[in-house]
Amino acid sequence: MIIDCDSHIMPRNAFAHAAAKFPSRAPVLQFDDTNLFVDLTFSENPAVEMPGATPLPVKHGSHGLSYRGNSDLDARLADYDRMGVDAHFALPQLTGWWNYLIKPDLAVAIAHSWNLALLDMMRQHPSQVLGVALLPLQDVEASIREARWAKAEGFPAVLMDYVYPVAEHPYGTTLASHPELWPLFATIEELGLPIFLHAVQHGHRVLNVPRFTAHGLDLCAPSDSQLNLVSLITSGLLDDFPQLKMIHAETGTAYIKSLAQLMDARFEHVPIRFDEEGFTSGSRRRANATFQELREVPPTIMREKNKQYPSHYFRNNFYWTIETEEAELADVVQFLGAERFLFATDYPHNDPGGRMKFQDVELLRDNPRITDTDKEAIRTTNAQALFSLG
Amino acid sequence: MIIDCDTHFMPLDAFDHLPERFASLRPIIKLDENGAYADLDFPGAPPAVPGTTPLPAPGTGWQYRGMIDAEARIKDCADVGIDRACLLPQFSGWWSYLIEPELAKAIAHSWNVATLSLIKRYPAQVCGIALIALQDVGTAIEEMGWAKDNGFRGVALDKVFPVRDHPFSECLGGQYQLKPFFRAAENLDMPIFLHAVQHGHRASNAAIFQREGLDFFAPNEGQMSLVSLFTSGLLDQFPRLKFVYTEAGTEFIKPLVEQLDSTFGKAIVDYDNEDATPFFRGRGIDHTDEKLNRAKALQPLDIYLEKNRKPASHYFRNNFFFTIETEEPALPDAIDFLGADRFLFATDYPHDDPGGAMKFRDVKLLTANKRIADRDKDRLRHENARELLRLG
Repeated sequence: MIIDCDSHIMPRNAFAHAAAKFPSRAPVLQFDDTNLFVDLTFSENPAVEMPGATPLPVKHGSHGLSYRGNSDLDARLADYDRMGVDAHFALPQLTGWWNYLIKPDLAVAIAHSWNLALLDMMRQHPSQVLGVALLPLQDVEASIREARWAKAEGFPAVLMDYVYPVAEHPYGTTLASHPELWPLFATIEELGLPIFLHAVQHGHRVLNVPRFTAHGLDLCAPSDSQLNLVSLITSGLLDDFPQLKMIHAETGTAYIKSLAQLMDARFEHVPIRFDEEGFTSGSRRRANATFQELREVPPTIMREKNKQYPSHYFRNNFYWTIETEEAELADVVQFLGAERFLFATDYPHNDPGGRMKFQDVELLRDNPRITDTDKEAIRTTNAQALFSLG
Repeated sequence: MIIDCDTHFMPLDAFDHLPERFASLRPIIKLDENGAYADLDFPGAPPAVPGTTPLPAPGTGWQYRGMIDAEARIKDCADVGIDRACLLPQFSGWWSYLIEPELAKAIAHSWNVATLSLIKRYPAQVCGIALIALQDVGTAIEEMGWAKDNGFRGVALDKVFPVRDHPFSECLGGQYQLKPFFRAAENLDMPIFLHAVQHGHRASNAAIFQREGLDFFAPNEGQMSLVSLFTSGLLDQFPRLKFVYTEAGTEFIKPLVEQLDSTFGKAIVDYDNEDATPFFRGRGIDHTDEKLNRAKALQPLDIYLEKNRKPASHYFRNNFFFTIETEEPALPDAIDFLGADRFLFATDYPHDDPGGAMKFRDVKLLTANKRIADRDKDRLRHENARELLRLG
């Protein structure tokens, strides 16, 4: 059995419930005369209106809108049959209508509306469609209620954006820099719900910082997903809630080993920045509680707080969906252990994450450097264990 | 012979040579009761840019007599076996490209005049590196010409270009208005020393880097600026420019160059950003379909894309020199990677920061380094500097 742990869908009735509640405010899906989902309109999307944000449009070629399986369940299941994949986690087709800057009342309605539509699909095809519930983080109490509802209704997981956009700037923030979310994380830990962390293309990115936008200097920009991943550790969140399980979706895996090793090396050893000329060399704060310079926030905020070596959290709290074509995949499976990895196609996307979707099964099967046992874990048993699937 | 290619000095008359009209605006050096450089007032300082994190004057190493006293400095150098030192300003607390241009030009010239008197008094021990005010390119070119005529061996620029719009600074390569200056530097064969100025405009000021140790991810703005010198196409336009990149260590060089070389002309896959074309960057790709490529670009493509015609390693081996930190374990590897001809001995005297922490031991540390050939040590100690700076 093969379980796809990252795919995207837009149910035709995704916003029906929200539209009933907010008739003029909910997103409106558009279909062409062949009933293909082609676009949507949404007038209340503050994230994309932020100066300096670089959102992707709904009609962007990466989203795979040409595939009927985007919104037609029968076509979708036929594609999955063709791929040789038995079950799949359905995440939203997120672009153009979702972010944490939407007004809370509307966001709560949109999230629940989408979850209801997906619940309908789950009930129609319980062995094939696995729902990932959307949570409106801008309303923590509502998110807690939605998580509890989702668990009761059989959703095996919930979804969060790994960039939390803010109204002040277009660079995004990390999830763990929002302490107001701690009660939600407490609830999710209590419920035993894994959290999918997935990009939403609202265009709030650290890449938008002006110095990264010219002469190819985006090469120097950090990755939003990695920033968030590290913040989950360095904020102390995973010491507060050590049972949390998080799936880093569609980030690739090539970076994992070097990031974990670098973070472990710096866990106690303060790196030297020769050109900062501060009296104390370290720009990180674990080893120097009194470091005053070069920061805008108090040391209590600046300082990383994790109690364990970072690699501990990599091996205890984190999972990654794989890109079967990545040359580094076998090495990182050996480094972290196969149990941290989950098969995924990113159907129906045409972007880097999804362009191999019709070859992923074969690519993993034919990878000579991954053992059969590990392949089975990645394809099936890891997901079964993580999501408590039958 | 040993030539120290990065030291700092504050002549007590550094700001005494400004025209009278700047008397109320000029920086004023303050000494403590022991006669040490203790502080500095600068009435003409530009308004602070919100979000910056500057270091105040006097800056590190102020307590050493050699910070302000040439004789004391020369004695300190002689005690450790250094024959000649390149003098750069003690920048902290007064210098930036945000100073009003006329004032900045006057301050730079004043510092240079004060340094010139030292060059004339101690020609065998002192090597002048002229301060240049880039905020007015025309006068910057004039000052560089004056410096060349008066025996200065190089000019000193900030590694980055601070702007009023934000606290993150800009890269030198993106400052197109500086092209005439760089053309003039090439024509004059004037090496350009790039040194950090602690005005506090840094990439790490971005809010996302200010929490929970996430400065871990902040790119080094000096390195970004260094890279911009070729990704902007500047070093294809002016291929004989020579830059001395100071006080950055050398450990970063090999991984940076290898990463840049590996992406030269090659597709880069970015899973995070879901752009339809997996190779958003990359030369040789047809970028005419701007819709697909606009998702990340706040600039037009011709600004966004890197322009260098050669791989990064070419520029590192042809245009850049690096001052060394003798204690760095990675130093021999960097020398093996780039070649000993790219590296220059330096102490960062009199600083007590990471760059200068070993200033009284650097000579011995280099001598004792078993992984660097004696022949290469001589290159680092003086041969490279003599060739680059055209010293006798």
